[in-house]
Amino acid sequence: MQVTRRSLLGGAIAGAGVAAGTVLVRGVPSPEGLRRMARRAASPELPEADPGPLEPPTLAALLAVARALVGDAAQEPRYAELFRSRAETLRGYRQVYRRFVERLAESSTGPDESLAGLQALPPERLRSAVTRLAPPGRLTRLALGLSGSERALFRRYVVLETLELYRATDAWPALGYGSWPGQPRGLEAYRRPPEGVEAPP
Amino acid sequence: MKAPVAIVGSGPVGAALAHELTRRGFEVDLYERGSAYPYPHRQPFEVRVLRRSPEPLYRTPAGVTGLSQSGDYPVPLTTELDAVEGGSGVRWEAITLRQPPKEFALRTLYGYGADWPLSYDDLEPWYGRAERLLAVSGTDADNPFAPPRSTPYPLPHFELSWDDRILQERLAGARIHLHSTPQARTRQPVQGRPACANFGACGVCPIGARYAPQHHLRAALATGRLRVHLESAVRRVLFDRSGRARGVGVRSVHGGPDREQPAAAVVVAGGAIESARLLLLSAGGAHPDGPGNRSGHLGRNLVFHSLWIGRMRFREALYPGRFGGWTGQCQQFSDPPRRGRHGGVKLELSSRRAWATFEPVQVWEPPGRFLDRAASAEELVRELEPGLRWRPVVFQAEARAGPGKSVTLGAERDRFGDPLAHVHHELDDFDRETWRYCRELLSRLRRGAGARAAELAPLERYYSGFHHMGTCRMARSEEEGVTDASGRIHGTSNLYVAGGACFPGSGTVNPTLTMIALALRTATILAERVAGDRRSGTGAAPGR
Repeated sequence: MQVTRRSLLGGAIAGAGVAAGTVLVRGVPSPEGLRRMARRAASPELPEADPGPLEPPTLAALLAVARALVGDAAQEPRYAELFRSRAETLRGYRQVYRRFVERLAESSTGPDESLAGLQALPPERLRSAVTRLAPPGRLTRLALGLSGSERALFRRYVVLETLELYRATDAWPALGYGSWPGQPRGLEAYRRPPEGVEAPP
Repeated sequence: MKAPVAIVGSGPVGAALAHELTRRGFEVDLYERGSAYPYPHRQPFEVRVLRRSPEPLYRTPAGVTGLSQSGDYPVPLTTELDAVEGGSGVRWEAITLRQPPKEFALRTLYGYGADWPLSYDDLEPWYGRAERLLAVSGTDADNPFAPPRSTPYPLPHFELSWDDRILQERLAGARIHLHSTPQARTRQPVQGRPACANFGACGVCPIGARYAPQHHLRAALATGRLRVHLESAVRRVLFDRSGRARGVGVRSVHGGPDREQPAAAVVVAGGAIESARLLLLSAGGAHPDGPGNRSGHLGRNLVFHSLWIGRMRFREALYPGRFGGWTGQCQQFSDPPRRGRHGGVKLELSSRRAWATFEPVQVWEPPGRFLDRAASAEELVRELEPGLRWRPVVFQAEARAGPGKSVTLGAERDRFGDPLAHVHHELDDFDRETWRYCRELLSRLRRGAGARAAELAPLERYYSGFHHMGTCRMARSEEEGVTDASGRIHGTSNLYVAGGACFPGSGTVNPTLTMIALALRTATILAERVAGDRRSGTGAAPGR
């Protein structure tokens, strides 16, 4: 299924409709109630589904997505471990991962709907497909969350968690740090300027 | 067999007590509601840091823990209590400062709060012992505000980070003194613990360089005199007719009948909230309002530190966060000129907190806005780059006890039918004035450090730093508090409270070192008393 601006707008309208319906039925929520609703929408609950091992094509498709999002860093074993460990130990993740790659394949590889086709896509095209399926933006995520769309799950539990792993690890060297927290960095380097940086006046 | 000493709680205080008492030859039963926790924390490190997984690091059966809260404290307190082997010591920041001498006599010197029934000089030798126990790395050479000491730090200090040194030089021009931070991280290998390798994920230190209570629980277990009863909830302290503690009533958190565990003495070390709750639950017989509560102080006098987070933005990139612990802080404003109208403040200009600018979210919470905006690594790095120029400043402020701060028994019940604690906490005029003082300080810091901008969290966005204190405060008499200076509850002969619950006030410094110093003192006094009782034949045999 192709995800278009129109369908995204539909999600937002549905989200607004859900919110308006809630107000009509239950009255105007308290500020705390609104905050709770926003939190739930921003971070929708995972489905109640058993954990278990990921099928190799699903994992390969997820890693192709990771590569499209964070580049060569995705070849680090921690990205595969991220997907594998969540699928195997936490309820709901395996189902979300499976649905995500299925939907992505439907929307980006044409009629054969093949997961293998995802891996063959150029990273830029795959990234565009991911962006269409699980678009960035807080308001968009809130709207999708309020509407109950599974695309909110995709953004929250696939895309953001991949970016979050990158942020906590590989982003540090990209910002000019020699290493990231979690690596033994020793007790000397932190007292000197980072490589190539001069002390400010 | 002689009845053992019972300790309730396995956090830093419980572990220090168990270690000291077993070292002195005592049999000890230690009770902990939570389950075992890996030490060193390699497995939690892998879960949290390497896998970024939201899975819980430990689990407690439903209905074993919990509380209700009211007032304006914006953080769910359940997130600040750890029911697990090691208690909150499994994830503490390990900052170990001595409380300044004046903070033991606030009532006398400034006319507010309560005096401690002991002085800094009384506690000074115990501070030294506590520092050796935890293997504190530090120096006072760069800190003119450090209290006097009779023994050196056990380990050399962690030098200031590169970015801290830049701030130190700039602030010196404004007569603000940034100095190093004593901490229970190993600057060198010691006591079987390796030297800190600066992993930077200290909450789950994978090698045991940051102190965790399990270190001393293991040592105490090795004596053969300690029994650690995990997943065991102490529901009551039990008394004989005279009001003497004869043991504790314990139930497995998984259910089953209560069992009475005899004890020669009982030490409650469950944190300020749960310790007060257990004592309130233990009311009856010779202690109709709860032990030590004849004057109604039990559960009153709750204090949290008020932590407000501010930040400063600089023109140049300072690359904060390259050291896992903290290096820079400032105790210069602990004793301000208008003290009494507001509290003293300790500043943490710490790289550790700066790391938090890159870590404003954790994956088990909704991701932050910069993640939300990004669709790729390149976009994410662009979003993160401004963080190189920000330096957070944590204002750790003294608070004052008052009628708006207390622990009582609430209406909600745990799985055994016992009332859970109810915590009421609301800011008062003293806190509001302290926040305004923090705002002044931030302005001064900004000018001194040459920052382009600065901002401070709003008054109502305060945070305790997990520093809960005062609910069983020590005082010279039962009219003024719950325990005496040894931690023994007034009106009892062998029931003690140890930890922050005993503090008569919050002071300005992180409380753990003072808690450990007091615990070692309590253990020593208790040991002498129990030994004396046994020699004189008054030591309680089980059931008497």
